[in-house]
Amino acid sequence: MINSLPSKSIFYLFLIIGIILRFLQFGNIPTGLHGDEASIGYEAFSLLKTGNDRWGFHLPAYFLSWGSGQNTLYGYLSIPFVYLFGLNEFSVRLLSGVLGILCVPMVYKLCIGLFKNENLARIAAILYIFDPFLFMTSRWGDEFNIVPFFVILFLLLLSQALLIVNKNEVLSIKEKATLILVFPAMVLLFYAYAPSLFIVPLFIFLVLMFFWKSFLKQIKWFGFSAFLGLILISPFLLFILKNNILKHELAIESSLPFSLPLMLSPRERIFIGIGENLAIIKQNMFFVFSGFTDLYVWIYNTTHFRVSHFFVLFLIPAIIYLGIVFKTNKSDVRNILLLWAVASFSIFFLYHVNLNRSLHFQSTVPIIVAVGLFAVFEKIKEGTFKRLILMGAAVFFVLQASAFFGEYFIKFPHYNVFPKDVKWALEIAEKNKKPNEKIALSKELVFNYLYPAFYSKYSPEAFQKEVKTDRTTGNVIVHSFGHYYMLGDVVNIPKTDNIEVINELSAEKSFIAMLHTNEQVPFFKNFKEEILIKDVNHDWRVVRYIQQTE
Amino acid sequence: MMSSIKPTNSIKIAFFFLLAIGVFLRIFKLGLIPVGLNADEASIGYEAYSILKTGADRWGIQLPPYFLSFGSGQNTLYAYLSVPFLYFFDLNQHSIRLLSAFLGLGTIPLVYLFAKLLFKNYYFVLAATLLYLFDPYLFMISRWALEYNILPFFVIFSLYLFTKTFLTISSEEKLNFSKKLILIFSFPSLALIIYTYASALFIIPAFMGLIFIYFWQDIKRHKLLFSASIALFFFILCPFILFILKNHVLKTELAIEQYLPFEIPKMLSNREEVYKGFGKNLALIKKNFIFVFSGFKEFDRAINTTKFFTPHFFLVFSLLGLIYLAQQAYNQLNNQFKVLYFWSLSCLIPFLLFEMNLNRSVHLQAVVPILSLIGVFIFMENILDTRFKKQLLCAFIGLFCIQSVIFYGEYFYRFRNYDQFVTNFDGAIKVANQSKKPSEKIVITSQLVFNYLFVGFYEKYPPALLHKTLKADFSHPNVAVHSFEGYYILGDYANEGYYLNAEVFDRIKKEKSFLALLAQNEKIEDYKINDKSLIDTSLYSQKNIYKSTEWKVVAFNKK
Repeated sequence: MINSLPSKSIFYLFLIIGIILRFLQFGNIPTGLHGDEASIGYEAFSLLKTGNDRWGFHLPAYFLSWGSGQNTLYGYLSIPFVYLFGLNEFSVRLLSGVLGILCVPMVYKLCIGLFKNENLARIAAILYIFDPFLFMTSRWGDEFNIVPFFVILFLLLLSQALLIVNKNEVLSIKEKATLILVFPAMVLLFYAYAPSLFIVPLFIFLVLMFFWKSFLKQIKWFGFSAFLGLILISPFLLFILKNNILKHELAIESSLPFSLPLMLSPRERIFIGIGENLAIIKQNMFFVFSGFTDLYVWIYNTTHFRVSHFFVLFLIPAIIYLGIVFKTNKSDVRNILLLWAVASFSIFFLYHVNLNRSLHFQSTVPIIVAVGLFAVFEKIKEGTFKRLILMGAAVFFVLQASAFFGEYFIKFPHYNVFPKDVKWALEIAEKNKKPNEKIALSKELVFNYLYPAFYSKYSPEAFQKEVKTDRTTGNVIVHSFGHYYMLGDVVNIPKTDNIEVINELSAEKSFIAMLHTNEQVPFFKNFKEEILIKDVNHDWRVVRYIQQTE
Repeated sequence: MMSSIKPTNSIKIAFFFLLAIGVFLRIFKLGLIPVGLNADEASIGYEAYSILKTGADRWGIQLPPYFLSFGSGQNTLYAYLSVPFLYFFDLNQHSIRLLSAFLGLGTIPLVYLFAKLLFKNYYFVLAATLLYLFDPYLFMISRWALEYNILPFFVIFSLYLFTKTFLTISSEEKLNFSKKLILIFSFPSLALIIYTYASALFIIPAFMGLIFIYFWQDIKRHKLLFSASIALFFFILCPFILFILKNHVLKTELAIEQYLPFEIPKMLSNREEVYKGFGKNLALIKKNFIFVFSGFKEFDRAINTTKFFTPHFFLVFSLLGLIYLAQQAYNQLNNQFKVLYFWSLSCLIPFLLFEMNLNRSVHLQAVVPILSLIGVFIFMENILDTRFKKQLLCAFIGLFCIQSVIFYGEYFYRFRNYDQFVTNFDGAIKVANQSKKPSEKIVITSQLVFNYLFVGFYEKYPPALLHKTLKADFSHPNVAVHSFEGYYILGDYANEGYYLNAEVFDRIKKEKSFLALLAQNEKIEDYKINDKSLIDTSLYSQKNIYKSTEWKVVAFNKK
């Protein structure tokens, strides 16, 4: 064992630095607001104000969102933050930040429970707090960014429960509570991110296979827990039943206290390519063997230094170590970690995986890496060489971390997946707008309608009443609400122009338009373009179109 | 470290089996993959051809120590060594790449010999050889003809000579003839590295300095032999030193030039890329840091990389290897590693001076597999639990195999489509030449970097005729070639951006008919000055006589 490292004070020092970094410039970096964040934020706002989502569904089990659906947990859990801090970038990201940081003590506790080793637990906690990918996910508000919290929570409760059962003592209230919470915690994973549908059942199957005796010992409490879990999951199951199995309205729906929206199109990207397995496995191997380098277009959770990927190498000795543990004793609680790794890795054989989609697996990577580090260092001869490589590893870690954080705080704000300056442009449009003028929004802005709704905290009741949409294409294409008119939308590829809206605007005497700096709109030939603002430092220009009378 | 163990027969068989696979992969589809021809290959090929036919380079400069090439210069050794291959196999894609393959494979026995000096354990020797053979970067460079693709050979050659020399001396053995020979050739071998890739200029002095400091006593004991070796080094390097003197120190013609058996070209522009960013060190170090810590990943140049260019999980062990070498040097242990250690240290200097990429770090890359191996085995040696050690080793070998399989799949199936290699130009130029009437000229596209070289290369254009009929603008930093007998060049994309040979258009207009070899989307009427087409194509009838995905040949006849 590495006896003196890391000492308590160094551990706390790292912890403090880690916490500061997690909350430094929180809300401001990533600069701008992602379409998913605007969506989740407005759903939470709408739920807070009306109890319905933005389309008027009462407490939906799954959001209809832009037609193919969105997981709800993030939206529901954000309601208190939106209530306390209003609807803005900060409040919509706060849940990620809070749950992200709560993972760290839970990881510590999980490792203490499994390995009874404080140093290992400290290293795992430090790796967790500094892990570039998990760091990035904890700073913005996409639905799946809270997956790590629920994975760790579930594994923690499960391992604690199994340890409690193995002690064979009379249960205290706290211990009973732990047992009861296991399955409800598991259910939350389904609400957090849909790929749990593949992973969690497989994991539970594996756990039952090797730990059924433990479950039998306290069948009463586990049974109660499962019952609670079943109640909690029933809205989601009914939703799946309606959308993916029966594909029509359910008879009981009218008597339920929540609603089950019918999706306009399936979430294809989750099911993409099942069956083309060999090609998929090959692609996923690229992903794994490049050290989880995300070559996909969604780069909002990666920078050059996203993962200290040389440390990922320690997954190998860790798996060997955990494999030996498993072989020696099939019902050792440490096996939980290996079983989760196996179950969460199963999706690598099912569909194209990227960083976000492998979140269930990524959530435990820092812990497994810490196990690997210990497995190796435990077996290295004491002496100069050991000290040297320990120092080398520490220096390496610090260098990579500083490179990553430098990159994140200095370069990442300029990444263009988070549309910038939208709030600024909208404010200018509002300021210049004459009483009866309409505001047209660029089709270059993904989910354009959500931005004015989000930034102006547009009353959800009014939105639901006024919104005009086209739902025939499999997506909800918003044409207008209030005085906001959408010139088109990029939900459909290729980008479509909303011809109805364009015709309506063409009949106006004048209107304001928020367009991309160099965007050309060919439709308003009879109009003169008066530039209200356009400069090189901003992504958008605001103009007034004035009808030319002949 | 490393007790002496002899491998079993089954290990030997496995080794030879893998060796055979490795060698086969190195020569499989050689000349065909990478598909097409890179501009640097065309340049080197035509220089070698020109030297073979006329003793002068493509611009007519007699046996230059450094090519003028595109204006900013090019290292010469690759071309000189390719002359015999061209003599036997003529000028083509295969012959020009043969030297890389030949020296690339030649490096493998050298690595074996070198590893035998380093390691007593025979397993290490075999592993080093295989790791070197399968290293994706070293594999890729051994399959095409960039000037410094042959550098690993000379690096390992040099390191072998130095290590052998100092081991022999320190063991107090009497030097027999062959050992004396090895000693004498040690320093001159460094000169070859400089001729292969001039950026070694920043490495070799440091390396020599370290050698002198640490082996001073040994050198003093054999001062006569070492003096001869160093004298030979300077003698071989003399033309290059004169070249540097003329171009970078004095910046004037040298008085002795007329008495020399070779010419010293004056460069038209500096090799800026080498000096780029000199002084902006902090930003540079940061960039290079990104490069190293991403596992030598190249973000903008992909000539010698695929997605999986390196089993990069192993690279981290090279760092461990380096740490170990430092520790051994500090404790005066395992002296056989000293030369390798000094070389590795010296190779780090450019990381502080220039923006590095894979090619520019080739001096270091040449020893990375060996450093990684030292790292892996030191790591393993220090693990106490034998069972765990075996499992770990198996997992590493498995990982290496999987990464290799992915890499070779990528290389043989996808790399062929990389766009840095020009394809199908040979077919187009052949058709143009076959279709043209005797007096007709061929007009060459401007949409191809260093277009004239591809014509020269594929047509085996007689260098003597080129020297005689070439019209070019040497005031342009990249040499703007306008025409040579039978060909007009419309313009060129070069490092400095696009330029148009306006003067050539006046001459084309005087032709009754001509053939144009153009890019698929290129139109002659699009060449304009002040919005006016340089050639009025309505005066011509046009006929397409060749079409591929990239190129077309159009016959123009005045109506």
